[in-house]
Amino acid sequence: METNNMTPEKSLQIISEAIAQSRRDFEKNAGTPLITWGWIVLVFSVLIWFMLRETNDAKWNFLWFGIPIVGWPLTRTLIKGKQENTATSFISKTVGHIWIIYGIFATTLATAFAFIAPGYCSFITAVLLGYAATMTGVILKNNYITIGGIITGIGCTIALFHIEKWDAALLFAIAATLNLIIPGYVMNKKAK
Amino acid sequence: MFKKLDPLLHSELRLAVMSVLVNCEEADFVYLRESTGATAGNLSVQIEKLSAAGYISVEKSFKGKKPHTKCRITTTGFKAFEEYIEALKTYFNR
Repeated sequence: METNNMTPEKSLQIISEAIAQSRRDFEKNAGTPLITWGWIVLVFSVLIWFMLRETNDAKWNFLWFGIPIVGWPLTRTLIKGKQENTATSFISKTVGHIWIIYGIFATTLATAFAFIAPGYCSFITAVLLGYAATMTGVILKNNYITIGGIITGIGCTIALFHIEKWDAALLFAIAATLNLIIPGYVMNKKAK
Repeated sequence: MFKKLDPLLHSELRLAVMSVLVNCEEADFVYLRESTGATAGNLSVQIEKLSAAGYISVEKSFKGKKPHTKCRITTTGFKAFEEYIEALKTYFNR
């Protein structure tokens, strides 16, 4: 492979292929964490919604903390198992940071709302989810994720005025499906 | 007028390694080997050359019992890569 008689065209080709390859590699691994988090959020949201409706007891909102408790170790295990050889691209790192920041803000706000206005926990976390998804879509140049995020953010804000408070948990389940589960499967399918 | 291309980067494997690392914050040896299609021996030699020139930094550690080599592009490497691209442009802007 070592040669110094390379043409400028060949140099350009090597550089272009490397850029395309690293993007493909990122896309290959990007869908699984979205799917994992999406299903965890969906299961917890439906469970919390059901318990809130059945018992009318706001304490069930504390079950939201189960999402990061279950999600972190599970996602790490799944990603580690899949990635024998690794490269961290600026895109993957930025997208990862967006979701870590989302997790911190969502948990902090959900904690505060759990004490002062328990019915609104899932509204605020769903709006933030839409924001994080929109940012992700813009960075990945993925229109589906971007539009899904915008619809979630605006839709959840409008829903705030029309939905009964305990049903907001279901709204979070819809947001997770729209922003995490479906894009995750779409990305994995595209990467194959 | 054609600008001179950096001889250290003007080699298929070294350029491929640098192109991968320009896009990645860091990449391990196995990833570089798979994405460049090089043999482990040849890749080691070229990584050593790039490292000696200060274009990349190499961090060796262990992942469990297996040796693990991580490579990162340095500021000098970025600059050299940028200059290589600028020089390359002169061959197309005719």
